[in-house]
Parts: sequence; structure tokens; C-alpha cells
Amino acid sequence: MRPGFRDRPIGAKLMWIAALASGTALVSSGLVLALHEAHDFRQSLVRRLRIHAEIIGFNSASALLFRDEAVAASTLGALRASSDILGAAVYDESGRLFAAFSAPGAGFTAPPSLAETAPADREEAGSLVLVNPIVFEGRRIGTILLRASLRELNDRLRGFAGIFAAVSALAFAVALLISRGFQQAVSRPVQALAAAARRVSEERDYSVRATVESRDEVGQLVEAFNDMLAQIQRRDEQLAESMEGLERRVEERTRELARELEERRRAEEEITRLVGQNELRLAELTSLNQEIESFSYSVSHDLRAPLRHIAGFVELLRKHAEPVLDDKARRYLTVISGGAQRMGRLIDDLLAFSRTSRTEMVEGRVELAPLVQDVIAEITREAGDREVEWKVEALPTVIGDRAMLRIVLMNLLANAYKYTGKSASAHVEVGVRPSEDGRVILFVRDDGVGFDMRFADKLFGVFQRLHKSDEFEGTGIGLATVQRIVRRHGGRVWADSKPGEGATFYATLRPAGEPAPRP
Amino acid sequence: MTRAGARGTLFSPAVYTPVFAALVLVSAALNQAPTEYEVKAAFLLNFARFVEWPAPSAPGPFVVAVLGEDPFGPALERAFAGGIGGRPWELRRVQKVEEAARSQLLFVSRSEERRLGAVLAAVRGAPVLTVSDIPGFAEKGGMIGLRLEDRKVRFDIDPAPAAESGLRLSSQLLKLARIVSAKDAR
Repeated sequence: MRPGFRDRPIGAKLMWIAALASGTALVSSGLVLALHEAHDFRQSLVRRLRIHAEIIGFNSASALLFRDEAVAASTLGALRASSDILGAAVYDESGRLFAAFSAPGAGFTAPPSLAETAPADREEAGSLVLVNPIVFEGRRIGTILLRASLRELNDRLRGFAGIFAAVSALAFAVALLISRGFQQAVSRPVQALAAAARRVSEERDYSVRATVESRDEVGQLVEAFNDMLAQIQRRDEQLAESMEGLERRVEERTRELARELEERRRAEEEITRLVGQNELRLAELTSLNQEIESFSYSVSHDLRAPLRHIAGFVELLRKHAEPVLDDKARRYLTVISGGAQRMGRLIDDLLAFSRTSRTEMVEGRVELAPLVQDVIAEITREAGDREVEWKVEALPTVIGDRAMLRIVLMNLLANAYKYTGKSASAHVEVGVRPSEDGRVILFVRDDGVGFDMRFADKLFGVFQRLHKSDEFEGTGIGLATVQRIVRRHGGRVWADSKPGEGATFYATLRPAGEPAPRP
Repeated sequence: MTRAGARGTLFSPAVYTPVFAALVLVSAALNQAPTEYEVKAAFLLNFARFVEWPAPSAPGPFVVAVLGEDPFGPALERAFAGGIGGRPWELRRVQKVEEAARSQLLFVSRSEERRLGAVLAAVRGAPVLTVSDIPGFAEKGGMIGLRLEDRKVRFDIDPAPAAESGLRLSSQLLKLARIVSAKDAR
């Protein structure tokens, strides 16, 4: 095929195929016919020539035998009647030319001798030459040679070619027309399909449908194509729908989120505002508290100097005016001196209390047992006029500021010592209990006077006293200091008591490493 | 020298002249045209081929007879050597008219010109093909008369006596002959 035939439209292809097929069939059948015709013609010509040769030969036999060339020539002259015979010659037994005949205008010259004797036919220079022996009574007495024109054959073939060309042209035209009709039946649906497919791919229009025109493979293809398109269209619509739904949901969700975000932002603003307020108030309170504390510290500190003067000068007065003082005056001086001492202690306690919140906390491992023994020893040394039975359990090691924890133990144990002062035999018990929050609860139990639980909340306030100072001396600052220190360590304090049945004070502490061993 | 001498003898006129002469003679003999009676002998055979005799009453050979002086010599035997259509044949040279009548093909020699009437009368009506080179033979009651025309042998035929004798002459033969009639001559 010629190049580019692949890219030609299917209609042109079909037409060309039909035209080539019919053309090939026409040409081959024409060729076969022509060949057959030529062969047939030649065969019949040879047959006719041989009959001529037989007749002439038979009629020439006597002339040959009697060596009468003139009669032989006139016998040959009968061939004049056959228009296609160009010439003839008779040869005698030995092959010498005996008689010859030439058709008028043919210019036939017989060869002077002829060697061949067997029947033969061959084409020579556009004419047919036939050789036949002349046999008389079973013996060859000569040979005849005939030369015939093949013009008729050529004329016939030319005529045939003309007719064939005309018929072929006509048949070709008809075949083209018919194939155009049929090829449209085949190619139109394919072209329509191709156009539809192009539209689909170019315009993304899935509503396009190709028309089904036949039930053949093309029709099936078109149907399958349409089905496919329908599926794609359905899917496309579903996709669009779900996309829409999705977009709607996304929008809704976005709106919700924006709303939530707005609310949260507002809440955060509120919180920030409240926190700001709180911080402000806290800062106010803190600064107020610091002011109060620094005020009380400086007051306490400044009070010590005049107090020392009072105490010092009362002593100087007592020594100086000893001889002149009566008992009454001495008692007055004692009262002043006592008051000054009490005031000094009060100031010391206040300073210690304020120090508990002011000083830096140095945390470390603190073994409670030796600390308790040390505190008990100090209490006994300072006020060792009374017999108290100390019962100290095994104590754990805790985390905290050693100096501050000593103040806590000192206050608690000194209180227990102090408030058992009215009993004949005093018992103080120190121990620990495990706590639910992983801490240890240190308790100090005495069998002293105890207190009324109705006033338990007042116990740890500054200057709050449940007993008169003449009954049990004290400043009312000790338990407040204890509470403050324990709170600074992250723990809490409380108390449990009944009047006359002793009291128990509790403080939670942070154990070092492992929890305290169970008692 | 001996060599030169030998060559000299081989091409000497004494050697090649007789050889050359012999060659010329042989060639002449081969190319020699047939004699008049050789042709006539062949014609006799050919006449036998183109004439149909009535079926013979008694079996016997085909008899060719020459009446009178035989002018053929060995030419006749040579001509008939191939036979006549495979039939047995016999060549007789006769002098008596009775003998001549017992043949199928009778050649009347020129020597019998004077008693021709008696000869023809003897064979009239009998199936005997009469041939002769006596001038005017066919016109005188004979069947085939041979003559020379332009140095070629030609013949005249009078179909009437042949038909009378029951002989059928082929048209092939007739077309070669000059047809004459004894009646025209009278």
C-alpha cells in the first residue's frame, strides 16, 4: 500500500479496498480470458491449418508422384480462399521445393528446401507456420508448409482489450458507486462514533450519545460506547453531588469552627481579663502583705531598742535603788521587768514568724529522729523542772529546710510540754502515719489540757490563744509559724482534741525516697 | 630430402588426375536426371496406384505385362520393387496378344504400333489398363497415352474405354491428364 493509507478516513479505506478488490478480480479474470482466448484461437487456427494441409497434401499426392509442379501449384492456389493464409509450399520426398503459393500482397517466399518432416507448428515473425507430411499409401511422399497470418488473433485481442477496458471502467465505476453506498453503511456509524468520542474528550460533555444504526459489531461498539458514557455521566453527577455535599459540610463545619473559635477566643479573653484582675489583686494583696510584714518587722525590730532600754534601766534602778526600795516598789520593778521580758519574747517570736516567709528555703534530706531528740534535749535543758515522759517512735527522713523544720518541731513539742504542765504525770508521743497522698503524717500527742474543737479553726491564727496567758504563757504566734512553714513545704497542719483529754497535732511532710516504714 | 620427394609424389599430376576424374564421374552419376524410361516406369507404378480394378474372379498376382520390345530394361523392376499396395505382383514380357490380355496393366511397346488395332481389340472390355507411348494412343482406343512435353513426361487419358472395362480412374489421375476421346479423333 502507499504511505499514509493508515491515516486516511475509514470510508476512503473501505472504498479503496472495494475498488482494489474488484479491480484485481476484473484484471485477473480479463487476463485469464484473454490468455484463454489467444490459446483457443491458436489451437483452432492450428487445427484448421492442419486440415488444410491434409486436404492439400492429399490433392497434391498425384501431382507429387507424377512430378507435375503446375498441378501442385494450382492445387495450392485453392488456398486463396482462406484469407488468413499468407502462403504455402510443397516439398518432395527429399525436401526440395516442389511448388509454392503466395497470397496476393503477402510476399511469401518459400524456403528452397525443408529438412523437417514431422508435423509441427510454430510462430515466426507474427505469423503461424505449420508443417505437415504428405503421406500416400502409408509412405511419406512429401511435406507441406503453411504460413498463416495472426492478424486476426491480434485484432481480436485488441478488440477484446478495448471491450475489456470499457467493461472494466464501467464495472469499476459501478463498484465504486456500490462500495460508496455500502461503505457509508459501515463508515458513517464509525465516523459518528469518532465524532461523538471527539466531542466527549474535547468538551467533557458526557450527555452526547452516538446513534445506533445497525446490529453488527459497529452497532455493538456504539451501544457499548453509549453505555460507558451513561455510566461516566452518572458517576460524574454523583461525584458532583457528593462534592456539593462535601462542600456544604465543609462550609458548615467551617462556620461551626469559626463560631467555636470565636467563643473560645472570647472565653480566653475573659480568662485573660480575669487572670489579669486576679494577678492585679494578687499583686495588690502581695504588696499589701509585704507592706504589713515589713511594717511589722520594722516595728518589731524598732521596738527592741526601747525595750532593752526599759529592761536595762529597770535592772540598773533595782541595783541602784536597792537599799531604798520597799517591798512594794521591788514587786513593781519585777512586774515591769517581767513585762519587758515578755514583750521581748513576743517581738522575737514575731520576727521569727515574719522570717519564716521572708527567708529563702534551703531544701535537703532531714533525719527527723536526731532532730526530735535534739529539740527534746533543748526543751528539757531550758525548763527541766518537770518530769515528762517522751515516747518517740521510729521516724523517717524527709525533704525540707532543716532550720525551719526544727522550728516546727520546737513549737509543737514545746506546746505539748507547756500544756501538760498541769498534769501530775505528762506523756508526749511523737510518731508518723502513712498518708493517702504519699506523704507522711507526723503527729505529736499529749495528755494535757486539750481544747475545745469549736475553736479549732482559730488555733493557727496569729495572736489567737485559747487559753489565758496567765494560765499558759505564750505569744500566740507559734502555731501560726508552724502552719506557715508546713504550707511552704507543700503540706498541711491540723489538730484533734477534747478538753481535758489532751491534744494531737498533725503535719504532713514529704518523705525522702521511699515512704516511711509503717509503725 | 626423402620427405620432400614423398610430398612431391603425393601431389603430382600422375596421382591426382585419375582420382579427380573418378570423382567427377561418380558425382555425375548421382546427379544424373532419371532417364525417360525410368520416369515412365515410375509412371506405370503410379497409374496402378490411382486406378481401381474390379475384384478379380480368380486369386492371383497383379500382372504387369510389356508387349513387344521392352524399352525399360531394369528400370521397370526397379520401379516396382516397392510393390503395389502390398499385393503380390508379377512382371511379364510378352509377345502374343492372348498373353497380353491376361494382365492387369499392359504396356504396349512402340514396336507394336502396326498391330495396335488387333491388340486393343483383344483387350476390349477386359479389366486391363492399357498404357503406351505410341503417339496418339489414347485417341486410337487406348486408355493412357504417354508423351513428352517440354522434356517432361505427360499423359493423355480417354476415360471411355476404361469405364467400359470396369476400371475406375481416380480424379487425382484425371486432373493430371489431358483428357482425349477416340470418338473425337474419328
